[in-house]
Amino acid sequence: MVLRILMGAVFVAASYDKLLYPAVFAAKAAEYKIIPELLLPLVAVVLPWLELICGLLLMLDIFTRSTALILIAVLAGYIAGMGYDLSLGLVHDCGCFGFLEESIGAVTIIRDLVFLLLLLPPLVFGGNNFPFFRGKGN
Amino acid sequence: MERLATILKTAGISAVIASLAFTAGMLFNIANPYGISIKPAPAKIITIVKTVEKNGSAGFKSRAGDCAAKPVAAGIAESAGSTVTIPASGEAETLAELSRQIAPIPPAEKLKELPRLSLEKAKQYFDSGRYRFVDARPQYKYIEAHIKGAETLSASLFVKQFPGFKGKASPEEELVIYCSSPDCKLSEIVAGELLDRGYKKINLFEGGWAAWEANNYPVEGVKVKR
Repeated sequence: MVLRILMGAVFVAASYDKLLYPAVFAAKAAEYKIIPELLLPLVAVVLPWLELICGLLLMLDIFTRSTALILIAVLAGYIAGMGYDLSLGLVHDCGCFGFLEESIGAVTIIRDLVFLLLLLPPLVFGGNNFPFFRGKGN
Repeated sequence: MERLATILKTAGISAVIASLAFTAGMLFNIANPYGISIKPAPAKIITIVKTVEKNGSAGFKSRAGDCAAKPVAAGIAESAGSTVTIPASGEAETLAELSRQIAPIPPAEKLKELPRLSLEKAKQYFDSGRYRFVDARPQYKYIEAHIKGAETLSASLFVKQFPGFKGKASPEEELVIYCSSPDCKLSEIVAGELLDRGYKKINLFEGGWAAWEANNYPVEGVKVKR
């Protein structure tokens, strides 16, 4: 439970700044060469909401397995994006948390890897229920 | 069979949550005063390898090497990859742009010769209204806050942003380029690229954004409190 709440809070915190200022997030995302330019505005508008909704659902233990799956996919995308840019020799702002000024590097990749590993228990052992329907064989 | 059903259920609910996030994001973007246009700018993808064959590879290799030395210059680094993205414009312009990308970089001496402005001098130039201020920091920093009236010409997205900049500022215009602080090198990278493209009246504001902001001089941007 602690793990769920912790990881949920991380993603809610990560979404806040991106959600309010999509233009800033779009500019940060533009530095990631892995994201097609065509999809940048869509990513900037939808991804923060995906983080917020999944973070909240994870904290509330609603559809835990599915939210963990989405967040693992998101983290895998971040790691791939950072890894690709670093392989090109590009260092730029991570854009991970709006309130943190940090560049991509080994620290941010390892941190995301740890987050990804911490989401595995909710994915494997978590339920996938809506609380109101529990006990009805769902 | 039960496991397959569980996997399908998990994936199905994930798709529903993603759709919910998509809808919420779109609706919020409409209501958000800082919302953005979802329609992307038209862009043209050009494979640079063909151009390199036409123009010779020496200049290109030199750029790619330089790119490794200056990892912040992502826009230039795109030349080292297989493709370069340039907003749609005339074919001749695009080819000219690509030729510039593989042309030799201006010597460091030329950069050293550029006038360096103190904070006071930069403010004088700002007040005169005759100088165009250019923000060389990453674009997101420009969007957050920048010197009032400045244009963004980020070192990391230079290739992408330059065609738009060229439409606003002629090579004869007086420019003041700044980045974050006296230690940052982004303004020099941008100055080098502009020198390469025929801009001659370039000044470097050494104190940069840090000095300007600390003195409460005019700024604007989405994170500037009105």
